[in-house]
Amino acid sequence: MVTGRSPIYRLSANLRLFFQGAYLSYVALFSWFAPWNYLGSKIIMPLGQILFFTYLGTYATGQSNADFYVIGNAVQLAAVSGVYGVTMSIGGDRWTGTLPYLFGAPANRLTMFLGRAAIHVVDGMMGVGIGLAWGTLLLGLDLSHTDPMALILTILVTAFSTSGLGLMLGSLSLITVNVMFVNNLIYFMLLIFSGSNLDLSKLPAVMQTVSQAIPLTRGIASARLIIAGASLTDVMPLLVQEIGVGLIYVLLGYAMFRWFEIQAKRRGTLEVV
Amino acid sequence: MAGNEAAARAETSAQDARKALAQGDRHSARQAAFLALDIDPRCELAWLVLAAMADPPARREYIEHLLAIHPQSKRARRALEATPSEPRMLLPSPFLSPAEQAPPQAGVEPDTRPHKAVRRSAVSAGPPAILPGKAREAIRSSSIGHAKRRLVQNFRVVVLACEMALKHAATDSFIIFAVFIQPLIIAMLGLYMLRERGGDYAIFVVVGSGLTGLWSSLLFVSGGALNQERWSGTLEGLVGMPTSLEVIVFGKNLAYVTQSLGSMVLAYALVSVLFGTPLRVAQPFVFLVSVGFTTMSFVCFGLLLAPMFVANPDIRNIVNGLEYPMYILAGFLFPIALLPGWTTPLSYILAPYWAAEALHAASAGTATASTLALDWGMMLLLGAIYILLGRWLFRVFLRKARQDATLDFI
Repeated sequence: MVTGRSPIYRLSANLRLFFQGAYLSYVALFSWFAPWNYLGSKIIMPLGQILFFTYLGTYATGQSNADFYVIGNAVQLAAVSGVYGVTMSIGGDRWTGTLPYLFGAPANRLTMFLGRAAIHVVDGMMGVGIGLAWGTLLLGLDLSHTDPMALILTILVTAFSTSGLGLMLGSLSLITVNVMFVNNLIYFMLLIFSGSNLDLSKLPAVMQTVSQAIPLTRGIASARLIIAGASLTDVMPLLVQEIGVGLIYVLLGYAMFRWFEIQAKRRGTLEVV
Repeated sequence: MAGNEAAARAETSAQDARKALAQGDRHSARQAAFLALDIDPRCELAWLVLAAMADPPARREYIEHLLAIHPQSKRARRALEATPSEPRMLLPSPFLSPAEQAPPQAGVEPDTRPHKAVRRSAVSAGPPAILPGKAREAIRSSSIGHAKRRLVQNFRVVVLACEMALKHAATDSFIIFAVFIQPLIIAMLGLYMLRERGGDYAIFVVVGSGLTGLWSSLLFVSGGALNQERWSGTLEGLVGMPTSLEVIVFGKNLAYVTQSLGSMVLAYALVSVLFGTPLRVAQPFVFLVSVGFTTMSFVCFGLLLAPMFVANPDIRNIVNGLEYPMYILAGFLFPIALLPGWTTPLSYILAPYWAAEALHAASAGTATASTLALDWGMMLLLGAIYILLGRWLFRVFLRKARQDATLDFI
């Protein structure tokens, strides 16, 4: 927290903190000096996922349903950045030994916390764009009826809500040993519960309830509607709900982040738990 | 210039061999001497160390070979004069000082095996012209004994590496996820997605999802086995061991692949219990044999992956992107007939494709003698090719690492 200065100074200092954190977390995550990392995680893996589930889906239900799987998996790719990226941006401080400095700094916690996720929202949007491009180029996805602004807004909202989940998981990673285990589990569970590959109405009621409580579900549904020709007005209720779900996860994550900091300082367990 | 450098390195290694022998560590002495000769086959001291550890017939072979290389070597001539022509007893070496020699350790056989360079020269020059009959017989019998010992030793290493890898895998949450949980999630997805097709889709999904577990395990765990050793700082130790690195990796792969078979069992249980779907493997015996072929072909595939991943950082970095392509090209959960025709040859050179063919056919009851012969035969053939390619890659990797002194960096 920057104190004892004018409000404008504090604002500019916090903004600098926000963007600096965003930039550094991104550079650290994908180690831009070796772009093969990015290629594997953000280009090839998404292509493989889309192809695999689209072929599997069309084998099960017919070629006419290919768009269902292409769109579902392309939008679900927001979770690559939202879950893995954001989580590792926060949890990475623990593994690199920089957590004590982070919690020792007087910087604004909320700004710092949100800054870790900001760039991953943009990256998540790019990931979804790449996925849709693969679908269009290789699997005949038809975007001719799509309202581009509505689709971009849907992707933005979905990337935000997924990053909210990532923030919560990132806070969790400060007190768990096997963060990648949790990340992998959540990512794959999203493949089931978000409706990216399944018609949610045919799932058991319990599973449908879970689907409604997670990010992505409404974003994927909204993207499918928009690509089929729906307008922004048609999908607005879905987007508002998606934003609401995202906010809940952000707040939960921030509360956990603060709680962890307070507990760790009180008990002297910053590097232990 | 390069020759001088090689001679200097060989001499250093030979000095190590002599020191090891002086300390009574005959095993290390032998390895260091062999290493010196691999670098420079003309290294005099290395031949002398080997001769010092050999029994008289083999010793004469070493010394005669050394004299052929260095006719003026006084030490070699002294040693030859002091070496009895008939094997009677193990004598102290006449050409290394007493301080440099150690008595044979209990349970350590004297070396009756001439170095491979001697064997090569003997073969190329024609045995009758160079070797007396008794020496030739001694070499032949000692070679057979050595092959047996080596086989037993390698088997023991495979078992130990397998055991260690299993212990490690049991506590590694990443491996547990890749091997057990991810295939289960894919099985759930497959069951929900394919149930509209009807028929025996459940057993198809169980087998297919189990195969995804095998591949993920092979890709992430076996493929990264050497990298993990490097990160742990133990790769140098493994490379310096007398046992071939391929044997160790083979043992690790065997552990991971065998463990991954558990994902198929878990998927079977999940479908049977949670989904209440009856499951039946139509040709159980054929299925079990196919599982055996599958295991071996996957292990062999792993021998190809490990050196590729450790030697090429670019491949290692895109490993995340290599998971789904195999699911697709090998037809784990849908037939490759859905794919464009140009991908079919790619599927044919992948042992996992033939494994999926055999296992799906056996579980559905459609396997015939001809299809099995093709599937099993291809797994054997491709497995052999993977081994050969893997051995070559291991040699390339190790040579590069030694030449550039970058074992810990590349």
